[in-house]
Amino acid sequence: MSNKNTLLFLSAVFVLTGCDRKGTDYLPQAVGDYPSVLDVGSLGIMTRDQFELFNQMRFDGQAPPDGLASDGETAIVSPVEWCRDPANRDADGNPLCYYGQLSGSVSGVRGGATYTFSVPRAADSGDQITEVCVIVDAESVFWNQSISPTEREEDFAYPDFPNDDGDLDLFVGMTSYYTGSPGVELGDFKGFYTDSRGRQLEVEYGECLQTGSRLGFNTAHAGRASVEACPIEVGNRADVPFTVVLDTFSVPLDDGVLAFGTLVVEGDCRGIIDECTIRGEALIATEAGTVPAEGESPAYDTRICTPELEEAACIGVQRDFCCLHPSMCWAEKAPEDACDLFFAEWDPNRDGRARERYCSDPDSTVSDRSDLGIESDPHPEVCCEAAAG
Amino acid sequence: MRHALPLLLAVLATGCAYTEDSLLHVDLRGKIRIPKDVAAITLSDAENNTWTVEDDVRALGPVWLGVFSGIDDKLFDYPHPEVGPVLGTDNPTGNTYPYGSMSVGRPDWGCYETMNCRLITGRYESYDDVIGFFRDEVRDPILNQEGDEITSGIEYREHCYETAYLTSDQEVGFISNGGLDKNGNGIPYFEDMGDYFEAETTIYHSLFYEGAVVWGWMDAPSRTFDFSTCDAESPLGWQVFYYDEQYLTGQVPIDLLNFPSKYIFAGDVVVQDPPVITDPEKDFTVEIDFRYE
Repeated sequence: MSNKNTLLFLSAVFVLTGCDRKGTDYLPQAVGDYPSVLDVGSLGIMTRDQFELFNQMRFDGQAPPDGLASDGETAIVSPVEWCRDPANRDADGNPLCYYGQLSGSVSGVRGGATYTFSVPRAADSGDQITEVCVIVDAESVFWNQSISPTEREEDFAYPDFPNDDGDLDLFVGMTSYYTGSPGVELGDFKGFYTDSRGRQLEVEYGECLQTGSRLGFNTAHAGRASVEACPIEVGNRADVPFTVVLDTFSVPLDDGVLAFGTLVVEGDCRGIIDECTIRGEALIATEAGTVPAEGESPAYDTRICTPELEEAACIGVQRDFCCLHPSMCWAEKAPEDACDLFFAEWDPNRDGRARERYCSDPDSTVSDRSDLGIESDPHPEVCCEAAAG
Repeated sequence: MRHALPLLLAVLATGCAYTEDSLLHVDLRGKIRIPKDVAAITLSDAENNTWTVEDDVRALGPVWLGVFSGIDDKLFDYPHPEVGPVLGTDNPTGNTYPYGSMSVGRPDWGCYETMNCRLITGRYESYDDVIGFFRDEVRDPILNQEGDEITSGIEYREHCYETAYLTSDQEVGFISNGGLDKNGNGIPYFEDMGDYFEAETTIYHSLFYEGAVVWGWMDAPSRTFDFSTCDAESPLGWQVFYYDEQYLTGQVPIDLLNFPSKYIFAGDVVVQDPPVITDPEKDFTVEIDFRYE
């Protein structure tokens, strides 16, 4: 065989080998014991007061504001812990919210989580709940790299670690229409109607309508890692069970485990839905897949410190967060004087203890904050050791 | 080569044998008739003076036609298409799941904010015709953005051209949608046939199931000459941004024929005996003759 023919033959072999590639290597593999189809059980309906309390929980070991601790003994702290606390249950013992983790499913099989809820019948003197809002937030967050020269106090520069983002699509309907088997197989709310001429139509019994555009399409779903929510009319449907389906659209590439938080709150969804509604949903998988290892900065920092970043953004101390964690904030592109005011306040003597003061317990008298005349409140809940600058 | 040509021809011939016989979609052609006695409208002014406009094609509202599986007389006080299951809490009935639909005339933006949702296409011959109808019959002359009355068809046309960036009457729906004659005048959809108005129509690309019916209604104008099938405040409609003229131009709801009962009110005229379609090649005649009171 001549050299030319040999080359052609080899090329053909390579081309054919290339055609055999499925690309499944790029899909995240399910790790550990996380289920791909999860039945959460039943959730209670959160009242507006409970929802407000839930929103005031602080991430990472800090006591809630005075008078908000739920049991007087234990300081219930993060939203995650608040949800898991047996003290925060409805009259039937159902938790009021849920944080969980899902692995990706095998090819061709839908994965996700389901749970049920029903609105209790009001007592004779009480007001019957007529509408609830179902909310789900998949990890992680949507912070993008952006620098605003005019609003740099608020819109600082945030990096994003895209491989920890997943996505869940939300569906809700009456349980009687649900076609799946909880914990075994995900279903939907589709049924069939046959008209008098024999035409068969697929009917959507799901009631979670999310408007996706100004043209009025209402079967939309939010994009990657963004919160989804929909109002459900429950007037005259007390004690009627509803099923919530969280359909796994994508799982994070780093560990193949998709964390999420979800809840059902009374009333409509207006004005309560954003990335801060359910915080701390980026739970860390205990069995890491390709999670950046310690030292792989800034990817590791970004992955590990995302909950603190989310917290900082939600309580409006982004600038402080970035000054404390420069590796989290694309510091090389930030304005040079972005942190001058921060350090002028928290480190007036230039002794390098700004972080110590800012991350101290608000109630601590050990700190020299008062001696230095620092009037702002410290926020230890946004301090992340991994990215300490 | 000797065998290649016959093979190629055989392949081509097989391709030519493909027909669309199995498709369920057809174009249904027919006539609409509206008796003049039900087409007469009553209008009123701010002082509650009332008067009647009769025998005038310009007083006809938009006609919404659909092809449905059947009629259920028990649902409302007027004949109404059969419906599917009731879903959600916003709709009074289930969806009618129409097979196809068409309108004969549609609400149009009349180039001025005061005319929003008040003009129906295929009803007028000229701008002067519109001006005269609103001045003499509706008794509510067309006003411009300054509140001044429009008295000239030339002025009306110029304003349409300017605000909508048009260059010919063919682009002005309420003049040209029914076609233009050799003099450039609009041709109304409906012809005066003595006791009734008649228009030809085609319901394009409708599903066909033997025994389906053609049903619809005419959205008769309200006493102030507005139409319930045009939402003047809809944010989905086109928006005018022309210097100090900034407003929405309205829009027809997208579910008119899916949930007709949301839009049919007293005074509207409904098909009482819908024609049954057994042969899609045969023309239908549908009479819109039942005034819902």
